[in-house]
Amino acid sequence: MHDADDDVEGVERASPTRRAFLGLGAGLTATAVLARAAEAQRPTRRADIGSLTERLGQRLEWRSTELRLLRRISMGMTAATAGRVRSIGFARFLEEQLNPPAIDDSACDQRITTRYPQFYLTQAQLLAKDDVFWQEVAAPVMRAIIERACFSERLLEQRMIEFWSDHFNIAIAAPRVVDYRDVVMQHALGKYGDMVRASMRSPAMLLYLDQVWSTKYGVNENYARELMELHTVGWDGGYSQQDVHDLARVLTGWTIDNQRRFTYRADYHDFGAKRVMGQVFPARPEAGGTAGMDEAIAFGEYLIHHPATAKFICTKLLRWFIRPDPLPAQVNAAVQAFTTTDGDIKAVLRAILTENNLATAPAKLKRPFHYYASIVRATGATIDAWSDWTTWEGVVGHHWDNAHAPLTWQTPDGFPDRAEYWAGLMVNRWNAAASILYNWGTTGRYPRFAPATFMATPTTTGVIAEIDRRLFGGEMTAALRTELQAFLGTSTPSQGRVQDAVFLAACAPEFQYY
Amino acid sequence: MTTHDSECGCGEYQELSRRGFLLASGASAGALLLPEWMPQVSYAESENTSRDVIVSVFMRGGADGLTLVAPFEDADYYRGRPGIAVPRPDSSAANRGTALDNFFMFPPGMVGLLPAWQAQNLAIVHATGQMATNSRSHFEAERYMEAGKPNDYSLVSGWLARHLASSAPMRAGAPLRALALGWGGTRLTLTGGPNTLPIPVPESYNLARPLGAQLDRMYNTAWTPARNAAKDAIATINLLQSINFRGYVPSNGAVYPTTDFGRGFRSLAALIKADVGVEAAHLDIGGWDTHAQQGSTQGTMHGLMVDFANTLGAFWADVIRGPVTRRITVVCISEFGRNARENGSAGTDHGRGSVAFFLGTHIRGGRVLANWPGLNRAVLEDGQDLRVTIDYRDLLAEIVKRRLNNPNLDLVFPGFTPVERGITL
Repeated sequence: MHDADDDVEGVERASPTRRAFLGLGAGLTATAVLARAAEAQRPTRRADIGSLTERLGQRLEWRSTELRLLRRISMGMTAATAGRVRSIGFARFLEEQLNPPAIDDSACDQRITTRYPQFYLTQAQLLAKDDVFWQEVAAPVMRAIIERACFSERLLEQRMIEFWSDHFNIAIAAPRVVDYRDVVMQHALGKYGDMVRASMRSPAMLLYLDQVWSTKYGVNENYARELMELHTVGWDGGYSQQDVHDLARVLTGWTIDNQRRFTYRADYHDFGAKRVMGQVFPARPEAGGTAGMDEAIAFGEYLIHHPATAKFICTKLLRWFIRPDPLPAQVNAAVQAFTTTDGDIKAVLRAILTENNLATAPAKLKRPFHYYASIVRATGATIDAWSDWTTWEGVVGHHWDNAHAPLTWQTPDGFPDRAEYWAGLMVNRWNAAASILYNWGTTGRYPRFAPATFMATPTTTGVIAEIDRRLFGGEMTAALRTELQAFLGTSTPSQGRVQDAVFLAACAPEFQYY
Repeated sequence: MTTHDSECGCGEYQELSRRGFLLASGASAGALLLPEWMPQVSYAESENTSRDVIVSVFMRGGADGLTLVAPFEDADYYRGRPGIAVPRPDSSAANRGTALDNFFMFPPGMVGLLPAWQAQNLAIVHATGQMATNSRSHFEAERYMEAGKPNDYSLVSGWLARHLASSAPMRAGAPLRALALGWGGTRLTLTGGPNTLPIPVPESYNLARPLGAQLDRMYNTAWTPARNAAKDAIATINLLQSINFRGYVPSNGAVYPTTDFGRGFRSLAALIKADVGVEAAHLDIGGWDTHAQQGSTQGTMHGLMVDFANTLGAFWADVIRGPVTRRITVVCISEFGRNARENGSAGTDHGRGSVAFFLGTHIRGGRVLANWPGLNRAVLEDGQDLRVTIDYRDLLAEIVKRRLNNPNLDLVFPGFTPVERGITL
């Protein structure tokens, strides 16, 4: 599971030689963003793991609950999506997004299938490409994930894919490509239990967490522990070290064959007596075929339906969508939905994405991947071709500098969802914005951004109105407006000036949150 | 290189002056990540120069102390690890260990630290770790260890961050007191620290679009932690740009590995020698979760140990023994050790006690400190693991008090009464 480290380490990093120089004139007046230090309902109870990330602040300019919904369930708004949620309203927009197959995403699908066929390689095809995975497959797959986040119309589904990709994290390696499609994407808005069942049979997961090595001759506890700690009941789900060990014994025999397909090997299974979290597996005679496989299937069902699992998953989803310290009433409502629908993720999301929850949700810092996609979406930057495949920067570039290139988190806990982890990387963030908004060099660099698209009305007022409409859904702060006015000046701004103004808006504190 | 604030060489340390403290009327921005009970102080123009630069290394993944510093005189070590034990120093095996004393040895991958060991600048503590939790979860154990307090999820700052927050800057007005080098964001160890940033690659730390003055103003009234990060970053860019990282030539012929870890220490060496007020650094070295095909003397863990030992060995020669005006202390810890017995896949599963390393000219080095509990099944924790006999906080607290000259141990390690183990001079 650590092989990927070495391959990634060797890659050359971006050099800081790319700079564009434009003269700067008037300075900006100080921003005066009203930040309420703490919400009235800020809890005093013990914060849980994941924890309070900062004083919970409300962005007072976020008056529209519809736009709050759009921000939370998307990788960033566009003028079109902001218009749509305002026109059809909160409830209809949410239902629309909860049913992604009904949303026409053919343009995005077409983009991925034609440019990145590597994303769709089968397990057998990947197996044949193991030796050239890093040269031929990894980067296109990462690009496919980046571009889907930037261009898919299935907004909520993208956010859920990101969520589950972290929840069932596997450091990038060839079989992860299949897992990403068949476990994470396949079940992102389906039944939680189906995702766990698929993950338990995912060659990528069984390889990554060393399950394939675990036999009656010597168990390996890695997968057993994380199946409970990270995937189902959570770290405080009430299991002991003895439970971990016996679950590893229960799981013996769950492995892969030489074609890297899931298989069960009864000859590896420990048929002795086991006891895990109070569930008793009596000793039984050794046998062949699928004998003994029922034990882990049964315990998987036990975990899927354990009350701690419902609470763990619902709390994590609330952190993802609403706030770092979910309130007991919010958790209870989500757990109720989870339990009564047998883990139907859509039902849980309906219980979480309520108008009240969103109206009171404190601002949340975008993670770098989310931030990048939100700039592309809001500014209409295009990614039409990749002619700089030969450099790592051309492939994942600033996603790497931001420590948030898709699939590159090495440990099974997934990329952190905590502001205090990401907030320090501001320079990397701003440089990612610059990489989108300035067409560095002369040819072949993407994304490409056209400042002229913000200049239909080529006055300072007109440009600011367009920035407001596209980046902020019409909810730009007065402070940022004042700054941009001072920056753009009273005469007709030049295209370069407009480009800088869009850059400053994308770098502004207001645009870091969602 | 400036010398105006070179340390006093007498080994006595000034009492931390509280006269320079200004009690902040409200919550200062930098303190917001700190616990409510933490005094919210700012330090105006005060500084405290009589302090070591502290470098914290976290060996992420649960490093196998029984390989890093292997007990060749404990017969149970060889009984429990027939496939992965390091051969005795007095054996004829080509991959045999190198004796550190009459009980412990380095495997071949660790010999890069032998010069520091022989110079008595390296102290090793064995059978150490977390006494107050027996968690074998990476993520729980790392959290407790970096926070400096177990079983408390309300604590969202790290032990090193609280040391910085509870001590005057080593250099008044330093824009950057502490940094995390290498890939990633702010690890918990440094979370909440004042003037603290993750700077993955210092030599390329610059704005692609030079609108720093505008950005700085825009963040004046933003929220922390983004506000502090933004303003500290802009203040730091010029500082780092003034340092010639690429032309840096290590002293004493030291050669850093060209790994992320090695490059991070090389950049850190340049930063320390530039003497710009950086007083703390954190680096991760991951990959110690050796469940399968561990590779004690060749393979995965061997390669990691070579990276670890050669990097620290180079840093020792270049900086700790090199021409610097400040003393340096390096601490290396891991969230837990690994099972005394190997598993079914020539690896080891999550365990308890492990080793910690302390490097510096004022470390009582050249010895392995251990209350060795033994590896017999009867004395193993839960029948499987090396016991933790020395709490890691005893060791870090001694460093904080003696080497960092910070008496506020109750803030750095809340609710803990450390026992001094004598690892410092």
